[in-house]
Amino acid sequence: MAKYVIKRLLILIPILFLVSIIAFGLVRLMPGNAEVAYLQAAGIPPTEELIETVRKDMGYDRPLLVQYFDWLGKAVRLDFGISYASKKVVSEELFGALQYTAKLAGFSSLIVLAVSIPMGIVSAVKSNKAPDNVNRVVAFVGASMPSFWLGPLLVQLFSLTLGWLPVQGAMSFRHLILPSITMSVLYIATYSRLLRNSLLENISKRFVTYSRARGVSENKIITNHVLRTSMIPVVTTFGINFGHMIAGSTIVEVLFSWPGLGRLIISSIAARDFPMIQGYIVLMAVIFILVNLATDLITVVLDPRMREAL
Amino acid sequence: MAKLLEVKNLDIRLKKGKETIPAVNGVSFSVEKGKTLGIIGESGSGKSLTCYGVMGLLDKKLWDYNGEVYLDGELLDIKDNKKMQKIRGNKIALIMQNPMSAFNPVITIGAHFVETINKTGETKKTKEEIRSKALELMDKMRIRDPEVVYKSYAFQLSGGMLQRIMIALALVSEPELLVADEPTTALDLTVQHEIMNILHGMQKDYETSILIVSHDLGVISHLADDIAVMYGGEFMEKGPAHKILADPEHPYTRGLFSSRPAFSKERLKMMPGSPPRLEERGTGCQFYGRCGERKNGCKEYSPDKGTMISDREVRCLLVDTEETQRKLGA
Repeated sequence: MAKYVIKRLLILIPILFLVSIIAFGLVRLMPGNAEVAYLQAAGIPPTEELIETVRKDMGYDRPLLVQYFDWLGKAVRLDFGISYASKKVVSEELFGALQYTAKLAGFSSLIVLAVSIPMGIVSAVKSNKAPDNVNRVVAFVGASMPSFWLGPLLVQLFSLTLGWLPVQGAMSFRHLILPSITMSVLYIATYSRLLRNSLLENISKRFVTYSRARGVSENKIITNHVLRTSMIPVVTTFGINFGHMIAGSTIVEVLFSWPGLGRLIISSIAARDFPMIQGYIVLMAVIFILVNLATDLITVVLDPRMREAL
Repeated sequence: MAKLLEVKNLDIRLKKGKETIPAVNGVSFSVEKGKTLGIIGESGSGKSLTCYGVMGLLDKKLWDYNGEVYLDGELLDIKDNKKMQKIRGNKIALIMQNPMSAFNPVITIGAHFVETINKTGETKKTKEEIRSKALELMDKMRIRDPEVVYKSYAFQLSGGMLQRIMIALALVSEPELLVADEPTTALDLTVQHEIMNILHGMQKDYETSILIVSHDLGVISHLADDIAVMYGGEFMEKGPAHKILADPEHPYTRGLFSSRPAFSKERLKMMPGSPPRLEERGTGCQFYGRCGERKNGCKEYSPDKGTMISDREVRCLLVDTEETQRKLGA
């Protein structure tokens, strides 16, 4: 097990090296000019002379390879430079925003699990009867509703009409509720159906009949055999999607003015804030790889068959 | 001889929309104390269904079943899952075919023992007590390294090993009746032989009655005291094993026995055709379509009970005549 983890962590190095090349390259392929954007951000009208000065200051007049290795050398020490737009240290900005995004993704995940697991169980127990059909419709609607539409609808109802929750911002826990719900609806739909199907598949497995034949009580069969085996695909998918939740919270964050990574990167791209964009891409790659590793490890714990593969 | 298990008119039907299709047509049989009844027949004849029906293990969404099942003279409520739960794994134990998929792949063999021993939750035994009991039983089943096996998962063990573990699990409660559904089918020959010896030894030690189902004549002739030959959801012939084996009366039994491989250079005889699928079954004699000795009236022949020829019951028009009755001296 430890060997496996170390192996996976070592693979991180070549992956991150590739990511760094892509991050550096992509930013330079972007349309627009960093020097102009920089000057505009500072409120200075860009002239030929000024652009030339800024270019020299930023070191953009050097060959690309030199620029790349200069950046890489610093990035290895977690120094991603200073943001052009905010003039703050990129790594601090990123970690600050990451905390907010993690809060959002974490709370959304809690909602997802708290709702989709009971929903999936009820659907499986009453499969193809009224409760299952209701859940099916709810899941279908939930899965087809884009968050940029669902979010405003929720705001309209809970903030503007009922006045229960704030419209936007991130001051308190109450601010967290609406964006989290908006984000979780799609996943609730996915997981409740996934769990239902997985439960139905496992409940007709032979090991369930054999447990009954041994006189094991129906409750124990459900918890020890059916639920346990059915949770494996749910946990695996959940792990993969958690990375997506962190990277894909952009719309929700912009909608609710949530100061997370998604909102940060949108404004950074608009401002051609090279250091910030590069740092963001690397950070996302690291998050994805770590979340996948964690998912694999949890799967191994849940499913002993996977241990053979280690 | 006292009857341990008595089954009367067990009827199992497959639900299909609003209709039901008969799968087992009101079979009756009994297993005596400490004896073995072997049900033999081709795949799809309803043997396993009969076993599961007796134990109340059929999915009620799929199957409609009725019949009286007496265990030790007591009528069992085979449709009540809660009541049957107390009987199963207690007075009646089951060993299944294909042990590879009968164990849950994500929990250890030990965990299977724990839940089997502590199933009711009334008399909670400690982990250590369960472990030593399991090791003792596995040792009896001649399982090598039971400590290692206890910690293993099903996918790490062989089919023969798992089948022996199943028998060990069945012995936990020292059941009065062991239902063995094709216990040797998925195993190779030498392991088959071992399993049969274990079952035989177990019957001697515990005086367990066995209801064994197999399509393998070798297994049945090795273990059974009585034989029931099943075809199309009905018993074609039923009686003491030595009589049926020596002198099969029903054309189907004869066909079944003659398709058994022998160590000769003769070409193996084969019964033409295959058993009817559930939807294809007609009324009348189920074997009519494949019978080489059929005659007028066979197609409509569907008596409530077979003909008794001394202690044997045969369901065939050829036997069910006054002439043959007289000849056989019933």
